[in-house]
Amino acid sequence: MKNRCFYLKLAIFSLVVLLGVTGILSIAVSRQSAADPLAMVWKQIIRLTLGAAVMWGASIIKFESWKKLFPCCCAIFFGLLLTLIRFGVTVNGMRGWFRYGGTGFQPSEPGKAFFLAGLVLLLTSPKFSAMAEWKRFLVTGIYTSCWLGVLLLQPDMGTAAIYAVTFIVILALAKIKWRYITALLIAGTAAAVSVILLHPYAIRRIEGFLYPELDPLGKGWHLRQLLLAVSRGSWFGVKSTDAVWSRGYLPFASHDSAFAAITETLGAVGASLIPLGFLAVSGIMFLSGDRLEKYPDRRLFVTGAGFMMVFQSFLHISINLGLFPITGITLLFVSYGGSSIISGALLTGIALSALSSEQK
Amino acid sequence: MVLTGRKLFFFFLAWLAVILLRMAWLAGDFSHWRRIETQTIAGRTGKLPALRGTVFDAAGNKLAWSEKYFDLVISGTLYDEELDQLKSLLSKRTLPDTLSADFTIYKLDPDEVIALDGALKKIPALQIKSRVERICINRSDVKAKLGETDPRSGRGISGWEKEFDRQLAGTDGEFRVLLDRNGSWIDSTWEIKTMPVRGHDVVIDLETGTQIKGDFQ
Repeated sequence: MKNRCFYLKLAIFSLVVLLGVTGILSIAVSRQSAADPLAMVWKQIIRLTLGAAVMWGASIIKFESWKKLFPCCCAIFFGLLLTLIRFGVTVNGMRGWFRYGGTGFQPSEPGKAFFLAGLVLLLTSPKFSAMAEWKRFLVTGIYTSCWLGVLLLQPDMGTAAIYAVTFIVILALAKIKWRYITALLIAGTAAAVSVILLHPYAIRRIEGFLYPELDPLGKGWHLRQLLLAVSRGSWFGVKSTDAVWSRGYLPFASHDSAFAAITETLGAVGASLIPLGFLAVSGIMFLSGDRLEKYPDRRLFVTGAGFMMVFQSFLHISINLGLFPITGITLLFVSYGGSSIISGALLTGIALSALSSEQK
Repeated sequence: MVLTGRKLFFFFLAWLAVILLRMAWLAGDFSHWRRIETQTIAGRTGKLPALRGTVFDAAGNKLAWSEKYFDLVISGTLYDEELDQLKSLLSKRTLPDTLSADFTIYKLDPDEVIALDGALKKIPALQIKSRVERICINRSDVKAKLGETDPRSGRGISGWEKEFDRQLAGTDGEFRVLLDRNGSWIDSTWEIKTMPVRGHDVVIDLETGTQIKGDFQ
């Protein structure tokens, strides 16, 4: 049993490191024409090293100790999100960052782990379990609405969608009745449509997705460049020196368009290993989570963490392939940025802690 | 119906299948038109001028020959720091305190071309342009007979340059390069499609003005 846990942890850790290395390759290629091509590469290496340390550190803290820390961490990150409204920096129309010197920090990213943790604590605490089901649904709904509210004030639609869908999945995993979840889905869809209608830039993005040919230099520009970059890669990619699209045409080649940039260099065959890698990591978490029936809190966290990671990654990849309207979502461990790496590291590290067999 | 991790795994497995199918669609022949579109948007071809042949006399003296030069053209306004940087890179030359647009610094040394390489990427107003200059021997009697070449096309337009133009003119080559979003060359994508073929040398009898033989030995 102990050996099995060790190999599971090793497998997850190795896959995550490989994904990080792929990200470094993508950044190196897309920055070839820059004045200092290696500056971002070195920063990303440092961030990945830090992320690996965070993941390892989080995995060795006992899950029972994490449960004592979760309420405090939840409060801190929710507080940071609230503080953003007043002190945050706006980038690309979204007030989602704190900036100090040349470094930015996006609290909604690492906040994912603690949002999930708070939800798990609420659903599995003995006091809560004694409540009527509708009350449990209501309390967790209010909890999630508070997080979604501060995210939509930024407005960060992509991250809010991840939080919202995770909430629905966790409720289903916690065996809340499907009629409540169905009602939530209907209300949530109506709310999402209302939010989109209130933000003209969101409508422009949907129009650009549905009819890119009508405004190829405006609303349809980003989608067009994504598809051109992916097509250029064909089956086996172009030489890194010929990866012109990720260097010169693709907006946000190191962040929101990271998968399209990688596909230009690695081709469809090479780049397909990325979604396979994410499915492998989350698949290990999903199937391991099913074995933790005796420990509902750990089961919910492990499965929820796996879901958040693979859902965000597949959403990013689908956007880059033109399957979804464009929204600013990074590819965990691969996109440039410390907050995204720390987010994945915390989710994975705490999940590894929950999977550890040394605990009861 | 209870949601389990196993069911989630199969859901994402189905999503992965959609992703892989889409990737195959974009990579395969169905999307070949997109790859052609990227060449249309970013690809450019250009001429590699052929070096014109040399004119010799019967004794083997050069009468007319071509030399390639590199000039630095300033196509916009330079900021003070940029001008200071330029002056330090071209320290052998005396540059004025202000440089207007279209100011040209002629005949750069190889060392100066190398030194300017980094500055070219950082200062968009600087461009290095090459040109080929036809040089004639400094004898008025021979110059009159030699004639002239067109400065743009390099072809002979009078005198022996025109008479022996077919032998002297080579065949231009072609290069291909990809441009970035700003229209600047991406250096690593520059490649020669067709090599230029240098023109033949011509040996002329100064008295009679006839060709003795081609390609002086």
